[in-house]
Amino acid sequence: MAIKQILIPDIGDFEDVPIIDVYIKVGDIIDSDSSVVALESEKAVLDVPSPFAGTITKVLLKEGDTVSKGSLVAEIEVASEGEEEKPVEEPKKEQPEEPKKEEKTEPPKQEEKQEPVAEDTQPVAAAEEEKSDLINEQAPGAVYHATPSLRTYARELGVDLARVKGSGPNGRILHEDVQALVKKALSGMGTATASFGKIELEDFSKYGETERRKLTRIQKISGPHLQKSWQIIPHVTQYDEADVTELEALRRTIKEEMKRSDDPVSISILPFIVKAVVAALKKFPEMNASFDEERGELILKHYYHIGIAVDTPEGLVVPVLKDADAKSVTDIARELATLSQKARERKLRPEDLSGGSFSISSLGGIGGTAFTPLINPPQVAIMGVSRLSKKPVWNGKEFVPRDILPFSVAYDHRVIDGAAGVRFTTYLASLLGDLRRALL
Amino acid sequence: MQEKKADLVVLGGGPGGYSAAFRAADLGRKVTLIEKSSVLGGVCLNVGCIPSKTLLHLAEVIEDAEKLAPLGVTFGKPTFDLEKIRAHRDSVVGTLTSGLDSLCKARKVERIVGTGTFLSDTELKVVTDKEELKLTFEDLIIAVGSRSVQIPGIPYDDERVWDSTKALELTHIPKRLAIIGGGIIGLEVATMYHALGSEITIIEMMDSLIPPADRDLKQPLVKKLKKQYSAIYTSTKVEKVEATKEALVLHLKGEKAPDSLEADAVLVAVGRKANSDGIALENTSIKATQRGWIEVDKKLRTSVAHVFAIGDVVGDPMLAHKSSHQGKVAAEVASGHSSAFTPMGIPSVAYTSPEVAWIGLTEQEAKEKGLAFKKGAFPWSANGRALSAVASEGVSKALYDEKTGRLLGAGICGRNAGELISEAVLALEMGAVAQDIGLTIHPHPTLSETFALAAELAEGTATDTLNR
Repeated sequence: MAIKQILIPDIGDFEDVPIIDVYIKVGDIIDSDSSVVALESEKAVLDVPSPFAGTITKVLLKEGDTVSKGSLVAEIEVASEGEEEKPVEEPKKEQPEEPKKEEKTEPPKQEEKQEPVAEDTQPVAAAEEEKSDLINEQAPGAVYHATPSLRTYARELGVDLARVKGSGPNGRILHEDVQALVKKALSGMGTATASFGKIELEDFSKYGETERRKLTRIQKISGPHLQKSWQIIPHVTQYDEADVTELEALRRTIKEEMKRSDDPVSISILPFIVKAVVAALKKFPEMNASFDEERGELILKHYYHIGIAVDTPEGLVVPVLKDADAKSVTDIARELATLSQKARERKLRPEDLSGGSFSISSLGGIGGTAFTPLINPPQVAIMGVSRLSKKPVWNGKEFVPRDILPFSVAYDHRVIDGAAGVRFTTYLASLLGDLRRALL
Repeated sequence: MQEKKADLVVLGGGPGGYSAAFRAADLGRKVTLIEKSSVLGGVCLNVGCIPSKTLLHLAEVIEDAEKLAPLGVTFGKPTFDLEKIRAHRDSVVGTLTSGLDSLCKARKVERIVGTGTFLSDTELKVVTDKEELKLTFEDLIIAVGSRSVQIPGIPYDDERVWDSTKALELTHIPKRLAIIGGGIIGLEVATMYHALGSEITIIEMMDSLIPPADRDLKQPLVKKLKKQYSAIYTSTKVEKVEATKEALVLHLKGEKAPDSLEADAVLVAVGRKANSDGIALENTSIKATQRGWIEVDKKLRTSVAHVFAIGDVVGDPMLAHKSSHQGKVAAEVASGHSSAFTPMGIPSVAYTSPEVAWIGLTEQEAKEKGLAFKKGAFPWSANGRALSAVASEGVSKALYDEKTGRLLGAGICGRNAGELISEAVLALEMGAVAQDIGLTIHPHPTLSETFALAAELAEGTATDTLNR
């Protein structure tokens, strides 16, 4: 019998990630690879598996704690052998009192991180204290300048003027600068505090029976993100439809060929749409961009990482297909299959979810004729795909049956105007109608 | 001893104390104001700023009248009815103090005429001429002010030895008045008595008059005083003052000073001392420096969180306008507001002739701080209004940050400099740059133009003089 430590593994370039669920308690008997805690990062929920099987003897984290690579999650008594990990007592003895401070600056090391987490609450308390003592003095010749009324205003809001960048003449700090900082800080808090108010409830039992259901974790995380998108970005949605009869014919041909291939993969229309989107983005680079409000600049991306919304039992997640421009339709099909699989099994890693430059939400597999997708900030546009159907189309002499794909593109009207929006959808429709145009 | 409970107590009824009391009352506090004198206003109103200004006004008019003789307008030699002058002084003071009384009543501030000494961090012993009582307070603001410093070797019992209060009593006009201390108070008294006919001698320990002000700023004043006064001895110490029947004999030690000189009255104006020693601080955990200045933070809290201190008792600069602003901040902080005392500068004014006023960093301070700055100094001899008013002794100067152009400090010497400096104070607090001030149209011809012209000089855009 030996005691082992369960540590947070390398979770990519993320630090201080909050724990949103703890699955284990002392006495639980778990298998190796069973999830012990769930982490929240960006839009993803990440389950951390136990590398050992055994009985949990100590749980060192609770919901709401934040962790980084190497943070100690729990201790587990393992049934047998396998002595490659050091027993738990040893590092404790080796560790002198000092490292408390170091931990904040140095990246945590695998075995040193003995007394993590709870510490993270301390700076917050300290900051609270400082706030009530804020002075905001203004010395002659200081780097920033704030007038007496502004010094008072900032004190009331608890804003340290040394942290504010003045946008006024000669770098003067304006009321707006203080407000912007406060808003930014509030929206950074994520959750419900960022919302502009709340919807009043009433006692529904007087109308009939009700039950309460908890939001899924994905809903909890994505809610504020979606709300922010809706509140901050002025959305315009442009609707269009593409005649994909030729594309469908091609797809069916390839699908047949795939059946005879060594490495078969099911090919939907989505990989073709991705290729068409990439070609359209190349022509309309402002759609593949982010908006820097502070500097009034558009950041154009010279990479094509396409986020694909995936429906999972827990809710919607958006894994990112990297460098879609450099991948073939079959590569994309394969990668999409893998990403969807990982999404459903909640095995997406933060890097699978970050870096998207444009997103596609395809609901056509379920139905619908048109919808308005919400932009996934900091992106500036998103495509929504609805259900493909056969429609009679007048060819000049007669009605012929054609495969018609309805789609929409929602874009940030602050940086893309209506004409550009419709040019983009028109071009995209023409590409879907004949992908050879992408070669032009 | 009777026991009473109080909400917020203000100890001292000078400009700082009454401002604190009134602000706290306006914020909903129940205020008890303890002042040993039956009139409010403290030194400033009763025996300082205000009475001195009534007398300085006379001095100004007398001097102006004299200046007109070479221009062809001659008045007779002035005569002085000291009784009437004193009555005018008293009526001005009376108007202001009775105004304070009614403001106090209207705000329902409870007044106690008496003294307060600490029994502990939360209790005060109050002694009035009728009773003694123990006051337990929630918050307290110490505003007990300062008094003239006494140096050794001087017979203070002698009627002819004055402090500033005595000088303002204006009992008579001495033929020879010696003033120990060439700071603002000493020079203001000199200005008054010189106009009334006294021969003035000034003895200053430091190497110049009004030591904190820049030399080029005070130069017009110094130059004039050297002509007007019998003597000005800088870098000179008064070893002792001997009282004889005929005169007071001052024994001096200084390179250029005589060993002794005679005077009919001596004013001792060598600084002021915080009155922190009379309130039994030893019974509390309130800390004070060696000089007796009560230590406070920017929110004017002492080392006891619910006790505040403001004004002269917290140290330099000992100025009424500092105290009244601090009084308001203390009242606000005590009442749960997020205020703090963060001025960029506190203006200093010497009501001499010409006046000297300055704000923010002096050139000397800017150099000591190693700041890179540009300077503009406009001489009043090139200003039409100054020349017309026979007031060409003067200069307006300002310092601007080399890089940002923001005003760092300013000084004005000349007629009404004390009024003119306010524009610079506002510009400083607003973060104005030299260009802002130069581009702000000032009326012509005025004395106030000189501040804008100083900015133009710093910018190199002046046309009224050559840009250097």
